Amino acid sequence: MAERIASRTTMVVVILIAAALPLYAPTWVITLFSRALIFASLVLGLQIIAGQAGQISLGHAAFFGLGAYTAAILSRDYGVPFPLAMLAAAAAAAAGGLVMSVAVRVRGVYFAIATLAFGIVVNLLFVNLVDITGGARGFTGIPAAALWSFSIESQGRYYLLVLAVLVLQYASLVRMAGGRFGRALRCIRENELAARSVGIDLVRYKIQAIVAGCAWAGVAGALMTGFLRFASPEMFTLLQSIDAVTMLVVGGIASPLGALVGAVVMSVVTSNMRSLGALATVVDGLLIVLAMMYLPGGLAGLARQLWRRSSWGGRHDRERQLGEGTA
Amino acid sequence: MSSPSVPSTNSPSVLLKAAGVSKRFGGVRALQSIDLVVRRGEIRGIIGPNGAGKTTLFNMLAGVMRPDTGTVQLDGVDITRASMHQRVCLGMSRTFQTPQLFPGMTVIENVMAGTHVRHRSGMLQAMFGRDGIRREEEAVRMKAREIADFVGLRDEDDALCATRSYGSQRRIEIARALASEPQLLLLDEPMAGLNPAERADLVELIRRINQKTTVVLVEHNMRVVMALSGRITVLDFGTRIAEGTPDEIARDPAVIRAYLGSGSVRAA
Repeated sequence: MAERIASRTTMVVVILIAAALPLYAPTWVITLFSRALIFASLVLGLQIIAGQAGQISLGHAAFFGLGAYTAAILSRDYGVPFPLAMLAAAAAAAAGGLVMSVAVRVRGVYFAIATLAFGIVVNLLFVNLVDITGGARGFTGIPAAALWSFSIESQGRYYLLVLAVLVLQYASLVRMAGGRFGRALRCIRENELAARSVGIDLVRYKIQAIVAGCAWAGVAGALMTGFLRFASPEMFTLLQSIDAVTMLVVGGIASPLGALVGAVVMSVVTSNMRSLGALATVVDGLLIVLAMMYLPGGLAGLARQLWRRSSWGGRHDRERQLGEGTA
Repeated sequence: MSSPSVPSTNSPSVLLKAAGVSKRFGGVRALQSIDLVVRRGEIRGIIGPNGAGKTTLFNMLAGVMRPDTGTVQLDGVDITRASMHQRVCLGMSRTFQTPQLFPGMTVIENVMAGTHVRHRSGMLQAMFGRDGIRREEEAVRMKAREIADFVGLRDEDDALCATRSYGSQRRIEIARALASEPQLLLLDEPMAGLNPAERADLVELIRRINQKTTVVLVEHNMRVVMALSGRITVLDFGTRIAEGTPDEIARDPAVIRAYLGSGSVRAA
C-alpha cells in the first residue's frame, strides 16, 4: 500500500517537473524530449503486445508509419484538425493491427517472424505507393498542429501536447493492465496451456492486445508527423521496429513504466551518439547486451530493487519476506 | 451414437457421460469405444496400467483432443467439440499432472485468474469504466482469498508462484480450478510428486471439495484411489475392463490379471 501511494506521488511529481520543462529548458532540450516522449508513446504500445501479452512484435514501426501517414494526409489534404487526425491515425493503425492479427495462429518466434514480414511489406507500400505517400522522397507540407483555433506551433506548446497525450496513454494502459483483461494477457504470457485451462480465449485476447498496442503506435505516428511536419519511409523501417524492442527491453519489458523509462533514456543516449556515426549502432547493440546480462528487469526493475532496499520501501519488503517465510 | 451399455436416461443425476469414445494414434488404438457415466456428487477414480489410455480419456473429457468417434456430455449438453473456454463456462475445470501455473504472477493472482469466465469486464471497461472494474476486482480478490483459505494456502498471497514448493503449487492449481465454480473437477494424477504427508492432506482436501463438487481423478497411487473413490473405472489396452466400488475392483479377476498377473491390487 505504501508503495502504491508513494509511486502515485512520484508520478505526479514527475509529470509536474516534465510539464514545467518549457519554462526553464533551452529549445534543443525541449526538442530532444519531445522526440523522446513520442518514442515513449510508441514503445508503450509495444509493451501491451510484447510485455503484457508476451507476443514479441518486430513490425511495430509499420503501425507508427500507418498512423503517421494517416494523420499527415488528413491534416494536409483534408484540413482535418489535429486531434481528429490523431484519432483517425489510431483507428488506421488499429485496423492494420487487425490484419496482422492473423499471425496469432502461430507462436513465439514464428509470430515474431510473421510480424517482421508484415512490417517489411507495409514499409514497401510506403515506398511504392508514391501517389499517396510521396514515396522515398517523403511527405512534406504538413501544416502545424492546432487545436482548432489554438495554434500549437511553438516547440514548448507542442511538447506539452505530446506530454498530455502520453500521460493519457500511460494512464489508460495502467488501468487496462489492472483488471480482468490485463490479467488474462499476463496469463497468456506466462503459460498458454494454463491460460486455456481457466477458459481464456487465447486468440481473442491476443488480437485485442495487438489492436490496442497498434492504436497506441498510430497515435505516436500522428505525434511524430505533427512534430517533424514530415514523414518518409525511412522512419518506419525494420530498424525502427528493432529500436522499439530495444527501448522496451532496456527499460524493462514487464511494466508500462519500463516502456517510458527505456524510451526516454535510449532516445537521449542515442541522440548524443550521432557524432559516432556508424559506431552508434555498435554502442546500441552493446547496451542491449549489457541490459540483458545485468538488468534482467530493465531499468524499471533496477529502480524497483533500489526502492525496496531503501529505508522507505524496506519495510514493505520485509513484510513480504516474512509472508514468504511462513509457507 | 449411444451404445447399448450406456443407461439411456438423461436423468439430472448424471453429470458427465461419455458414450462410445474412441481414439486412434496412427495404428495404435488408444481408446476403443469407452463408455463412462459419472453421477453428480461422485468421486470417480480412473485407473489402469501404463499405456491403458487413462490420459487419452482424460484429454477427451477435458477437451485437449477430440475423439474420433463417440460423444461427451456434461450436464446434458454435448461438449464433444466444445473449446476449453466453453467447457469452463459450462462448469468443467481441470488440473494437470505437473502443475501448470503462471510462474511470474503471485499466488493470489493465480487463483484470481481462475475466476476469468465468471466475470465479463473487458479492455474498454478497464480503460474507461468508472468504478465497475474496481468493484469487480475487489470481488475477485475476495473470492480468491476465500478459496486459497479453503485449500489451505495462507500467508503467501503475494509470493511469486515460481518460488512455492511443489505441494503448494498443487494447491494453487486446485484453488485456481475451483475459482471457476466448477460442477465437475478433473484431476490428472493429483498425487504425483507429493510426499506421504502432503498426500494425506490432499486426500482430505479432495473429500472436502467433493462436498460441493463432483470429482473425476486419474491416479496411479492405488491406496489413494481406493480410499477416495466411490466408484472406479479400470482401463487396459484402451478398453474398459471393469467398473465398480473399490471392494469390487480389488476382487475383480480381470483387474488383478491386468495389473499383476496374480496377487492383490492393494499391493500395487
